[in-house]
Amino acid sequence: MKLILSFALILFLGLFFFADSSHSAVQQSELTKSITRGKALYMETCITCHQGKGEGAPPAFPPLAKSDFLLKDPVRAIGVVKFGQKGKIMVNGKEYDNMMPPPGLADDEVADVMNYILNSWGNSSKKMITVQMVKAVKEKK
Amino acid sequence: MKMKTKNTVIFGGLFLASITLMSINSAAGEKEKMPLNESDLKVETVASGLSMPWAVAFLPGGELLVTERTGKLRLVKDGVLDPQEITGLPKSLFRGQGGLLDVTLHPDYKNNGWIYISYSSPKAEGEEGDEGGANTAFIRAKLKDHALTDIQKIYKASPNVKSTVHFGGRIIFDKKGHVFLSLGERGQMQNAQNLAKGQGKIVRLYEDGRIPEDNPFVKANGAKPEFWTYGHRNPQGLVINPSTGVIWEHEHGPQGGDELNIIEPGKNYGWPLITYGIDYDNSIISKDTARAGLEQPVIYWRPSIAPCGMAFISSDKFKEWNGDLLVGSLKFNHLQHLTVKDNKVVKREIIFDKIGRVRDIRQGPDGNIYVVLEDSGKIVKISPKS
Repeated sequence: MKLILSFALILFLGLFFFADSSHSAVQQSELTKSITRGKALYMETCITCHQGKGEGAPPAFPPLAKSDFLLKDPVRAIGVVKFGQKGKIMVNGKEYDNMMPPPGLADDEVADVMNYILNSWGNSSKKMITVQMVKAVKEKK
Repeated sequence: MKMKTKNTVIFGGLFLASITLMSINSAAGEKEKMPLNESDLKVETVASGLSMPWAVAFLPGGELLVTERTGKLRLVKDGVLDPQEITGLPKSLFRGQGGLLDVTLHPDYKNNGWIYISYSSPKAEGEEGDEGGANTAFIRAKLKDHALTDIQKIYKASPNVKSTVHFGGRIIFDKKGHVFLSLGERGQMQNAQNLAKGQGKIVRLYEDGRIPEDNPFVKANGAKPEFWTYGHRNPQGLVINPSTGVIWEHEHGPQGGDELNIIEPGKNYGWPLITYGIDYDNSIISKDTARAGLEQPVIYWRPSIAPCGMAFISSDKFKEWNGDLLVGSLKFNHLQHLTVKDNKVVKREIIFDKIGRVRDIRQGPDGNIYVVLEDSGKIVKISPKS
């Protein structure tokens, strides 16, 4: 009985583990796909100011690579990609006072760009940015 | 000792007086310029509350006509933005760098009422190119109250391209019956060299859109007859020198390769075969900065300033700057005063640092200089303090 129980437990845990890993594998490939799409958008829309390795062009344009502004508050960053950015911000201890025009991306594209910049040039983020998350971000007036 | 000091003072006074005389003399002479400094000028806001303004035109009644890149055309009267937007605009694609772009009046606007407007035009049924793509187009129309009427499509560059960058979009007239439109290469650099593609070119047309028979590529096989010059990347500055008739253009290069060019028919301005810039990932686009048969810029900017907007000064209010160019910088939020002599730039000076993200610079009919600022949604007037 004890044997059967422990066997069942192992089976149960195993199933759980398996299910969980396959679930994250699906999400993993979703993330990979989103990053790939985001990269193409980045190359077209963002690269002129933020540059090829996300290093930006200080003092005019802030970096994205290892940027505390981006990594500490991805939801705020969604707002920037979605609606643009105006005025003073602090990035890695340096002040930037410039304007980023809204890139005019659709919500799914904002998610893709976010996933790319959150997972490139030494940045990494476990949490995938979804369209729903982008939809939920409203413009601050 | 005391005597010596006195002598020095007298001598110094004489010296100063002679300098003053000298400068008066040379001012009376031809192109010698007395310094006019930023500190002699004032900046006043004449319009605010605009959403990403791109260009401004001056109506004879004193109103300003302003394009907003989001797709709207607005009126400003006596410093107040008219809340009622102008209707009848073509559909423009507001995405990336695209949207409603330039606005300019026909030189004989008072008599014919034509307003020319450029924009990123999304692919329409039956047009060539990518599904969901776009390319630069322009129309002319008349303004009746708050509506565009008599709308005529003048030209649309072909093919449509899915990219959302490099639309160019500046419109100028040569007062000899022609209109010019600048086209960006739409993110496809090789096509700037392809004379069958409406990308990376400057176009010359009659003012009603017909193609002039004396355009340089009219008889060239496989080339589009509307093209005037080629090999451009993203020209967002196009002006004609009012005293010489020479056309000047500036274009965004890649990193470190922004250029100021003199535009002459049939010439190849080299992108991407030659460039002073490198790609955004630091890779080399071309190892050459010069090659036979390809035009050299008058100047280039390294690092890039992201030039946008340009004006020749020809004004009683800026006598010392007459014949010079003002260029805007999107990147550094300033203006550059370029001293021009014999079609060369002999001096560059940064003025009005931190003025804002400059989209357009025009000299108004009142001789003052107007600057369109994208970030603050304002138009400012620069004029002498006294």
